Amino acid sequence: MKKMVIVLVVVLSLMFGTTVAHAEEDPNVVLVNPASNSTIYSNNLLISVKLTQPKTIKVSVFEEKQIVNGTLSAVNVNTLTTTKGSINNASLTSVPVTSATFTSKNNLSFFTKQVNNLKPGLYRIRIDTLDGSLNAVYTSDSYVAVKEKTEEAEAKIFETPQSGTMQFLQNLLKTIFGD
Amino acid sequence: MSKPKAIERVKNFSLVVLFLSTVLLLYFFWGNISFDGLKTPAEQTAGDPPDTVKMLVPSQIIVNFGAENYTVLPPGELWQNLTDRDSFVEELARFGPVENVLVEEITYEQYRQVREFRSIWAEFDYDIPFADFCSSFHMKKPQSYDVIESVTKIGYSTAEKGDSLYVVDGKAQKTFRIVAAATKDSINKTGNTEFPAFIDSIEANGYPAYYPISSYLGVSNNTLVPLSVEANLQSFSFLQDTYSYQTEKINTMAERFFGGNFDFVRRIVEESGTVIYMYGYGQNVLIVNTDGSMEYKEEQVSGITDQSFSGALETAVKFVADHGSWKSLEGAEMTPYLKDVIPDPNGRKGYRFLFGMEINGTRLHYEKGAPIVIDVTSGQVTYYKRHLIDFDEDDIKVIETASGEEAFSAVNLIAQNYKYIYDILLQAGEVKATADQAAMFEKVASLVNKMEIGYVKLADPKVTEIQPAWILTVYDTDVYFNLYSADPIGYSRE
Repeated sequence: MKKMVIVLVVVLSLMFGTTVAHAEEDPNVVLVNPASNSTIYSNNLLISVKLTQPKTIKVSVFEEKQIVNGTLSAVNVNTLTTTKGSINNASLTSVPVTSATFTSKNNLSFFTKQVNNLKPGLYRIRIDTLDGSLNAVYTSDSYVAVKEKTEEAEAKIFETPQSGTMQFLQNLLKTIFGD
Repeated sequence: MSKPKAIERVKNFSLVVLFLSTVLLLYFFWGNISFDGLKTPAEQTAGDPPDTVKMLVPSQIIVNFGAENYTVLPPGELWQNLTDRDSFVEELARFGPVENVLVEEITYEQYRQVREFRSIWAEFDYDIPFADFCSSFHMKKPQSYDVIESVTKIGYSTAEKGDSLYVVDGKAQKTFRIVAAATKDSINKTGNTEFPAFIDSIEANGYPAYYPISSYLGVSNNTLVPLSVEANLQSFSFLQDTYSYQTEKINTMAERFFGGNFDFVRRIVEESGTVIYMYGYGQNVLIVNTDGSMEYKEEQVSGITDQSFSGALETAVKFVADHGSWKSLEGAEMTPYLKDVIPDPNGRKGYRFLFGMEINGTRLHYEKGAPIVIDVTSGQVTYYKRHLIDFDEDDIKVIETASGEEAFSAVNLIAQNYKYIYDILLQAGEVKATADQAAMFEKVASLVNKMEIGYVKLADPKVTEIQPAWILTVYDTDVYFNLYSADPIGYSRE
């Protein structure tokens, strides 16, 4: 019985230990771009990760999809709600987009990667800090919403342009009387 | 005809010839006139002077494709193209009509906003007087443009419908908007230029992605740096333009400066190997240094006070062509460009022009000085320093046909070298001493105002190779790093 309890404690501690470790974020690995839970209006995404210790990291990008009428579809980001930074939608399916592994030997370095041809939807960036056996010891997830770039509305930066004649008169007056 | 009469005629003819020769010789010796004046134009110019307009090139062209997609491109044919392809200059020439143009000063905030839209910008490292800019690039110039003194940056943005150009006048520290109404026969019905199509064509051809430093490093800095760069630049050997022992070559060169007065020039050879040629009491002095450079100084005699920027530039370009040419003395070809301009050097009315050189489209940076420096004051060349290099052009062609190699990451170069850069800034008094490494990194990352790749000639005379490098600019300091390893190799301060 005593042996059973010890085995149970070991198994449980391993299980929860791993889970706790996975839930933790590496303080020496920070996602600089994109900002967590932000929205971008581009089909290209720049990922920049700051490492303040020599580490090996794995950066993966997933598209979060949901089943609509029996098929996996992009999430309509306009209908998403968040609570304390978490997405309020339990029925999301992660589809891998890309992943890369990066090893830094310096006390300060940046991992940068451009992910191209993104379609509007919800994306998750997972950063795993790997140990010598390439097992994840820390994991963090950040979400980014990609929206269609709407047609740029004409900027209201300037007043209505005056005619050349008006401008000429204005310049003439300025020349005579100064600014 | 009797024999004595014929002899008399020959004597008379000889006397006339001798008399005329005497008058001619006295005219030259007393009038201090160079024999160069007698030469045909082809003989006078060692090589055809390059077109000055081709030397007026921006340091970079920045394109904002919208939606946070940017690129930075070398000017090359994008700026000015002699073929049928569209170019920035061609679009500027289309701008107008002059009769219906609005010129207004805008705020820096408005300028910043228009740059956020799909746009294209040509950025110079110096100020070009606006009148000279317009005449050089065939841009129509109505009277209302007079409010703009000079051009440092010029661009087009889709922020507003129609033809609008934006000008940064670095000299006056002002920004302007120039709006032209569309004419009935406008090609795109919104304006006369085709800048939108020009931007489209650049986008369609593919481009290297650039992002602001703020996006990579999380600091406040809008300077664009590339995500990655593939380069095929490698080190190559070079020789000096002259060496002290090349007496005949140096004498031949010196003759170009003194012309007919060369017989009256004193030649002094210093112990170090420096050769000095001096005419009169120092009106004209030529110094041939042991590092292969030559410096020529001339006493100011002319009094043209109103020579334009373009006029002074033409004087400078022609002088160089006549005094050593725009190639190395052995004929190695480089493409010159105007690198910097300093108005009124040493308090004298005129310009100091600093010329840089491109080797196969890649800029050659000098750790110390510039390939050509020339002062044109009151219409006269009063100072000229030539420090060109000689190299085997075939070597470069072989090197550059090799497949490309990934250059060291621009952002990791900053991360790896921020302490080195901070120390340089500390020595220059640009920053305060601190032990906080995070603060040092943030300071350096926020101050970088340009990053480009190119060739570098180091100041150390023992270094006989031109090296490929990253050139990082902070304030007026260029810091050089090995292109592929990011190891620091030197720096220069203006």
